[in-house]
Amino acid sequence: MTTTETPIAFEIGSKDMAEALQEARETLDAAGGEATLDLSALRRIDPRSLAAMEALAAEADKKGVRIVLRSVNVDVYRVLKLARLASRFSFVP
Amino acid sequence: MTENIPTLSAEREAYLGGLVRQARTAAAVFSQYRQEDVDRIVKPMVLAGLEQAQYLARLAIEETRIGVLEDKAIKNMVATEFVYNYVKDKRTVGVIREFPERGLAEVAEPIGVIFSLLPITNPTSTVLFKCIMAIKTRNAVVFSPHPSAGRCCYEAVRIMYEAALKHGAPEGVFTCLESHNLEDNAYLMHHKDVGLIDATGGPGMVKAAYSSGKPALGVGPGNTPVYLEKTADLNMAVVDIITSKTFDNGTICASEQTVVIDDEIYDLALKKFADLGAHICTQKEAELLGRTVIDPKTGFMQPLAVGQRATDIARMIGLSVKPNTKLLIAPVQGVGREHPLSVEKLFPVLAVYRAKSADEALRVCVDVNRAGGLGHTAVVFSRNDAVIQKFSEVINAGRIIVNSPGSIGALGGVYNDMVPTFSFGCGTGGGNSTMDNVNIYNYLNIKRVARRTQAHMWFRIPDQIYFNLNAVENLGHFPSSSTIIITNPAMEQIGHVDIVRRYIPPQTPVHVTVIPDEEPNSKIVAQGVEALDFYKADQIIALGGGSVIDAAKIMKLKYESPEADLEELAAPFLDLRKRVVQYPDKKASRARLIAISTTSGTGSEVTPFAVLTDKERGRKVTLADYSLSPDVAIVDPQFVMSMPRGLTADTGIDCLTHALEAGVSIYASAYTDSNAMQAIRMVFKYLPIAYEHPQDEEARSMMHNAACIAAIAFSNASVGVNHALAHAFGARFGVSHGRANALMLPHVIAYNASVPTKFMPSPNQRGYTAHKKYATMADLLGLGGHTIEEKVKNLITATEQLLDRLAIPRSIAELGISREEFEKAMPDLVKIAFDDPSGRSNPRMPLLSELVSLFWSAYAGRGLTEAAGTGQPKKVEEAVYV
Repeated sequence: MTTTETPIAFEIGSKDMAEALQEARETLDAAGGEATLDLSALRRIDPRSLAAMEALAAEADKKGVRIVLRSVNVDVYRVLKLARLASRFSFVP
Repeated sequence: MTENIPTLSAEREAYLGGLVRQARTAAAVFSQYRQEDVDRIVKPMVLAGLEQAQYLARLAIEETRIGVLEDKAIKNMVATEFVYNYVKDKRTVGVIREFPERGLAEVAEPIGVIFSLLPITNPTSTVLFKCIMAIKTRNAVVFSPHPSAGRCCYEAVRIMYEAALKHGAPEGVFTCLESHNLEDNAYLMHHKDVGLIDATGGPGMVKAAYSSGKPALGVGPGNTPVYLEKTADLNMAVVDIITSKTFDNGTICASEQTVVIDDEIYDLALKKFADLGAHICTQKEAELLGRTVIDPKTGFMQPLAVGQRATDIARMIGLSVKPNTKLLIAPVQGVGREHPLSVEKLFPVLAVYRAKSADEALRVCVDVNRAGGLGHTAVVFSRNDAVIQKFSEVINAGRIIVNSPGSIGALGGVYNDMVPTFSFGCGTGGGNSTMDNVNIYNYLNIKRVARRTQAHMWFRIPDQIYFNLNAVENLGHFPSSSTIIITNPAMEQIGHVDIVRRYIPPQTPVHVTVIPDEEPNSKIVAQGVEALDFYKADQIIALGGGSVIDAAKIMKLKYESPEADLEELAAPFLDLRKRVVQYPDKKASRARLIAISTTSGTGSEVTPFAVLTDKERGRKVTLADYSLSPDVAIVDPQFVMSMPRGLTADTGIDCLTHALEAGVSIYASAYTDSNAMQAIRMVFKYLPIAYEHPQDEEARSMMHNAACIAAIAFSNASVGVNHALAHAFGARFGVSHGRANALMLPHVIAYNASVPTKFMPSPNQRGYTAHKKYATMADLLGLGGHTIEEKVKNLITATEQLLDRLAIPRSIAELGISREEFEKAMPDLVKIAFDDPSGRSNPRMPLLSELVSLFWSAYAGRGLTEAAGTGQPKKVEEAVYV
């Protein structure tokens, strides 16, 4: 896996998350080796968004892109753990 | 895959795995919901269930061909309305209960994914019940209905799911298998994402659930015995039994199976049953019925009969009964395979047994209970509380229903205040993990948040302490109708007894009991108690050293409470407040104990301890309780002026050890610290003077007070490992207690001041403080030093210097004990020291290996501080005593 010098970043939570994740999915090709999603504004996560996260992880796996989640609230982190999705992302403060 | 997990086709595995994954995602999202979110969903679900109660009942009847439509509709209503009534105000999210006074809180944690098996007998009501529980507790459920109840269950789940989804529940929170088989169930039971199996079904399914290795709520079959006792309200009982046994054609597993009737009311009871629509079978009919509705091979009921009407069952055996017959009643003569009808029958057939006595009735009920119904349900009709009590003691059932119908009673909330349920836990008797009426709390992991609590401490001392020269004159304040002086021969010889007598109020009858100059034993105690009894004493004056005062304490105990078992009272304990053995409150007589100490060390005049020597077994028994503390202590230095120098030194160091150990004890408090610190200052200042100038009145007086003050400290904070070592060593080698303490003292200070290998649990302390406390002591003594380490070393040096000045041997070797002899004794010494209760209040938990090291350090003696010390301690003479 390679890492881009300028990773793409999204701020999720300010708009519909599933939509944002879809956008992220679509731009994975341009991401190089790594894509960063800023989840600092996200407090809760709904089933649709969780499904979108899973789809994003699958797509990223396929394309060899590492998804980095930034500033994940502990409640959201716990949901990702419970849904067994946490291991598919990297986390940074 | 293990051999228990079936191999499914890839498609099937993907399908089932997908269902669980969907539930897992829903549960993960659901875990974020707040209480108000959950409660907002539950109520419309309940209303939807109520709305569709009759519709679902009809579906169940049409599909299963079991039960009664009207009753199934009522069950659906109970499963919604009654369950809602129970859960609506319960907290199931976040902090669900708090006990601030105990520092405890309970926090709810959802389970996640529950795999739930549904029965054929109560299919839709069980779905409604479980859906409400799951939403209330934020869990997702994968349902697996009985193969013959798939459609009605699916519809019930759909109704609940849609209502839940509409009001905010996460997608995928409920899933219901439409068609499935045992392999599917086994696969799902073993799925790694299933957190709990809730198996309401037949014994095979329940067993499979428990065998899966997953946490399971498996509720088993019943075989409800009913005792119809002669004092019962017969009219009520008969109606209740018929109501219950015919409810949904007897499909509730808590319904009545065998009614045991007292001989006196048997005929009348059967007549009342018959009058209300029961058919009473003849012996021949009963036998035929047994052969037909019970499978002779398995001994279990025939599935074809389950939930059928009485008239249909009668038809099965070619029996002609009235068209309105509700119930078939079959007399049985016993319980077991040879009496087929004595087992569970989920249809309106009831066995009855005529009992000649209450004992026989209870025995038969026990037999029925144990013939497949352990842990489930039992019913008793009686007006006699003793009968009800006895029944509840001998029957093993999670639900003992009194004077009400078994099936509807067991459901809870209708005839009683039990928790409403559709799942009956049967306890270990039924092979279940719970005996509860399964409820929302079985669907939660409840986390206990336990805050550190501050245990209540205490500071207890005798009512009155008189001190300084001629304090003995205060004896005049204590009127008595009969006083006994307990003392030893020396006190008489040197005139101390006469001094005491002089100050006892005139006209007080006084008797002197002289006991041998040795540690008290049961013979000495008995001698004293005899005198106390004979003279009907109301006052005891103990005049002497620790042994005499200890003897008087035990004499008082046995005099006031003759039944007191000293052996039992000496039982070990960890925490005085939680000890198993309590000292007697009941007093046959009462006597005031005044203790006048004639040595300056043990402080026995104020302590709650007494040592009794068990000569026969060659051991000492330590009694400890505040009821042993003397009522009055007299600390008068005139009684210690003639103490020999050696005794002055030994007892003085004993006093110092008390203060040092109380100061660092895990039970130390600000109250005990003040006494411990003061005693340490007084000992360092006055002990050398008292030793070198025995007639120095001030030094003697201050040392006498120091001993008492140190004893006040250790009476409330206890001592430590120094005493544990000294007790073991002193007893083994016949070395006086004070001297044995002295040999250990510098080594124990160094030991406690270093970082413990193992910390002693000490809820009353904040962090490890022993080294800091020693440093404070050094500061109080003005020993100098800049760091804690230096101050501790200076304290050790000052202690060493004090011991030197008192000419106390500084090593065990110096006592003439050979290395071989000491080595041979070591295993016993360590064992005894470890068992000694003194060690349990030491700040460091003494490991066995550390006790060995401490003993060897004491054997080698001096050198420890020289090797370890780098500070520049002031000489004791130069130290500034604050």
